[in-house]
Formats: sequence, structure tokens, C-alpha cells
Amino acid sequence: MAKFTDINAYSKNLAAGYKPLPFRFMPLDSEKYVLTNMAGEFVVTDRDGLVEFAGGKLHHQSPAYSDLKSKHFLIDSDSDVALDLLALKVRTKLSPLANFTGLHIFVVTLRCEHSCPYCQVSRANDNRTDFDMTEETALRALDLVFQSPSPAIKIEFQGGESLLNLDLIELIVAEAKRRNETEQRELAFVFATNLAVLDERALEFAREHNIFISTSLDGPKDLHNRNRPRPGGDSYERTIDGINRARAVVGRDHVSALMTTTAASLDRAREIVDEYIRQGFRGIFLRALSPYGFALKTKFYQSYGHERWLQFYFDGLDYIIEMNRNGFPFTEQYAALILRKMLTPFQPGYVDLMSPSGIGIGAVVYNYDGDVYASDEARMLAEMNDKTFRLGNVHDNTYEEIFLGESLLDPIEQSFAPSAPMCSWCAFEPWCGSDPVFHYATQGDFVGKKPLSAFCGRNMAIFKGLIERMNQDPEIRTIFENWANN
Amino acid sequence: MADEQQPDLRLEFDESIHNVDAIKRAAYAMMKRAVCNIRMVDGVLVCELTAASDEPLEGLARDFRREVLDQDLRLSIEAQTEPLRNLVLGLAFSRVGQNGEVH
Repeated sequence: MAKFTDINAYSKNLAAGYKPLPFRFMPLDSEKYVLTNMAGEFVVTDRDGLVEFAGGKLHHQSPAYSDLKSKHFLIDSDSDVALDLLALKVRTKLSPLANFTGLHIFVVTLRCEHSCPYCQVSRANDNRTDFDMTEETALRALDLVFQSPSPAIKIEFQGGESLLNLDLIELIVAEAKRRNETEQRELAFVFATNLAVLDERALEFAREHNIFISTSLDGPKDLHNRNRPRPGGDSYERTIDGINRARAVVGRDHVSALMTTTAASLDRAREIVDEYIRQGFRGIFLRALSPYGFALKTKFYQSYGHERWLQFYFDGLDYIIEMNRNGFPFTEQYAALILRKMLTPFQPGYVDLMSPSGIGIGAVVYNYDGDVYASDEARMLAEMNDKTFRLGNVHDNTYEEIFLGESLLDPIEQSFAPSAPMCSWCAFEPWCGSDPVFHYATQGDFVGKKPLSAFCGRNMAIFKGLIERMNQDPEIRTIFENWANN
Repeated sequence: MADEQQPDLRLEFDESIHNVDAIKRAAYAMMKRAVCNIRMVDGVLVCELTAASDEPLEGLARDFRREVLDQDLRLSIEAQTEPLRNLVLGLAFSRVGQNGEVH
């Protein structure tokens, strides 16, 4: 008697056929298609391969069959646990939603001594204390912070220039830590600061309370100072000096920087990357301008289209990839966020790339006057006299009124990508977001017509660009896997 | 009343072969490149396209037809896989408690 069942017995079972699991597809170029499943795993094939698979005609011994089966694009008689595994992956992707709001942004003052024409936040002169948050407002906002069910709470101090109201920051940190003795959350703090007014008191406070520092660095000295004017024209010098002093006190990993792309940046992607390397950063977030605040008023937002920004982005990305090939590890952080969605079961909590939208759920903003906004961009919109995304006020409304009210739930429900036109059939939807604030600001409704949306055009091009690069070169795939998993 | 602007392209699709939803979706997806008027004439779905730019019309026609085919295939896949999709979502959410905890 044979000890093992003959191998042909298994083939017979498989020859009985398969069922495609739910999947979506989009053209990658004129020949190739990207297929994604419900958990955001993907394969690339040509049109014949797509039609053959969708029609149930793929042979079980073909290499494509194994690939599609292992990635939960099909089930056959040999797939007992496939549906459970796929459901587990879907649940893992959605599980951060249960935590609700983790990032709480306190706008402690609108005062700022910079006068950046692209500023996406409105600002007040630095001697106008009537644009400072009061203690009473801060304490009431803290009440709301600790009503969030999130086990991890990050409080970020923004402005204006946040450090111009250090007294209040000190009070908020002390009070939050006191409350956390009983709450026992994973509590973290961030200074969002241009570093121009960073003094020893702020540094020592940051060291004592393990505070992260996030600053702005737009590129080389001439570009940075042109983008970010201040009295004395020395924004770059102060930023670099502040970065070095902060690193010496709070540690290198506690200091990060963000750049913003202006029309003057567009031909200088590589120089900007070089500046970040020169300053000892391990990565860069190549960011476009947002259509809010001073960026609109000063026409900076309209100064370039998303197609031009994409040229800038891919020039910088390819430069960074080349650097990695040559043995210098450096990350483009927007790509890394997306690659984490594409290549791992995890879902980074980046508000713009969340669906349901991350507004209110991923982050919430307490403005200096006690108004609560669904996101930083919602606050910027309000500074342009449009308070559509104002959720309430810390003095007038309860947690339930603010977080379960129609001002938040309507845009989240309406913009939910799996039921939005074009998103619902888009293969890139598992990696994308819905961004109702952007679409409201640019098109006047929460959903937006995606074929006309710069958000959609920009992200779709990046998704395709990343897949093309991975597909063409296994070395790039390895680099991207490192970015996704770090 | 002024005459309506004449369309740049007139494409015909046999209703017995093509799903009208596929044509509507294609028109939506391509709205940046062309405005599409859809009419039914004797069992034929007529799409009148007015280009948004001066791009070559052959390319627009080819891409519109390709988009219709893609959308038709998407609709077939959606219909075919809907029960499994509901089953997977049911399994995924079955362990979420009444208070939203994930078990």
C-alpha cells in the first residue's frame, strides 16, 4: 500500500477550477495592468492575463496561478483557510480605526515672526497676544484629549510659531502628564517650530519631557530664505543652528524636518535632497503645497500644477533610489508610507491617505480660540472664513457632540472611497485616501470629481511610478521593502 | 436659440453586448478629456464626445473604447465576486464587539 497519496490526486482537485476573489484592476501603462485584492496586495499582468484570470481560464500549473493564489486573488479546492486569512488581513488594515483619534494638535498661538508667503496657516503679528490660546481653553481641550479611546496619544504644539507661547506649552505638558498618571496612555509631545526663537529654556524643557521637534527646512540656504522670509533674512541660519542645538539636547532621532515645494523649488529636487543629507537627516518628505491659507491668498498654490510637481517628485525619488543603490541608505518618506500600505499588512495613520477619511479620526485640531477642527487643513480653511469643518468649541460642546456630530460624520460618510465614484472601482483605492477637506476646498463638495482632482492625479501617478520602478528592477524592490518595513 | 455644439466624435455600442453602466462609468472616468452625451437609438448606445482639448481624436476614441471594455469587465468581476466580498467583510467584522473593540 502506498504511503502517500499519488501527486496526481491533488492536481485532479485543482483541475476542478477556481473562483476569483474580489479584485480590482487599473491600467499601469498601455500594456500592463495592476490588480489589487481587498487587502491591498497586488500583482501586475498584461491584458490577456487579466482576461484569462477573470474568465476562470487560468491553468493551475501556471506560475501566475500560484502567485494569484498566494496573494488571495483566487480560491480553489485546496484553499480551506484562504477566506479567513484574507479577512484577517482586511481586519488588520482596518484595526487602527478602533483606536480613534491619536494625534491632538494644539494651536497655542497664531503669532509668528516669519512671513512666509506660502504659509498654509494664517498668522498674526508676534506682539498680538489676543491670538494666544488661554489656560482655560487648553485645560478644556485636554479634557477632550483624554476622552479619546486611543491607547497612544500624541499632542503636537503648532502655531503660528508654537514656541512664542512656551508658558502655555509647559502648562499643557505638565497637566497632561499629571492626568496620564491615572490614564496610563502612551503619551508623546511634539513641538512644531521654525526654531528661530528656540532658547535654552525650551530646549531644556524638551529634554526633560522627551519632546520631539518637527521643523521646516525647504532646501539650500538661498531657497529656504527666499521661501521663508523673516526680519534679518536669516531663517536658514537659525533653523540649522536650532537643528544642531536640539539634536545635542534631545537626540538626533527626536528632530525631524519637513519641506514645502514652491515654484522656486521645482528644478532643484536634487539640491534639496543634498541639503537634507548635509544636515544629517536620514530621509525627506517631498511635499506639495496645499490649497489653503496664505498659499492661496498669495497665489503660491496656483503657481504650478500637479503634473509639474510630479516631475519634481520623481526627479527627487530617482536621485534617492540611486543613492540607495550606491550604498547610502536614505528614505523618501511619502513613498515609504505608500509602500508600507502596498507591501505590508499594516496601515500607517497618515491622515491624507486614509479611508474612511482621517479627519477627526486620525487627528484633530484645537484652535487658539477653542474651536475644534477636523484636521489641520480644516483649520486653514476656517482662517479663510469657511468653517465647514468646524466641529464645535471646547467650551460649548461635549466630546460626543464634537466627535459624533454631523460636521464630522457627514464628510467622512460621503467621501468614503469604496463607495465614491471612480474610487469604488479603482485598484489603488486600498492605498489611497478620500481627503474631503481637499476636495471641498478645490471642488466645493466632500467627494469631488476624481478625474479632475489633483489629489487623485498626484497619488495615482505615484502609485504607478512606484510599481513600475519595483517591477523593472529587483534591487529597487529590495530598497522599497526596506523603506516599507522601517 | 443657438444650435448645440456639434460633438467631435460619435461612437456606437451595441446594447446587447455592452452594459450601459460600463459606458456611463467610462464617460465619468474620462471627463477630463471629453464631455460625453449618451443616447439610445434603436438598441444602439450612442456616445457623442466633445473633446476638452485639441488632442488627436483617434487617440480619444481608442481610449474611450478601451475604457468601456475595462469597465465592462469590472462590472462582470464585481457581480461574480460580490457574494465572496460580502463573506470576507462579514468575517473581517465579525470579531468587532458592540463597543467597537477588536477581539
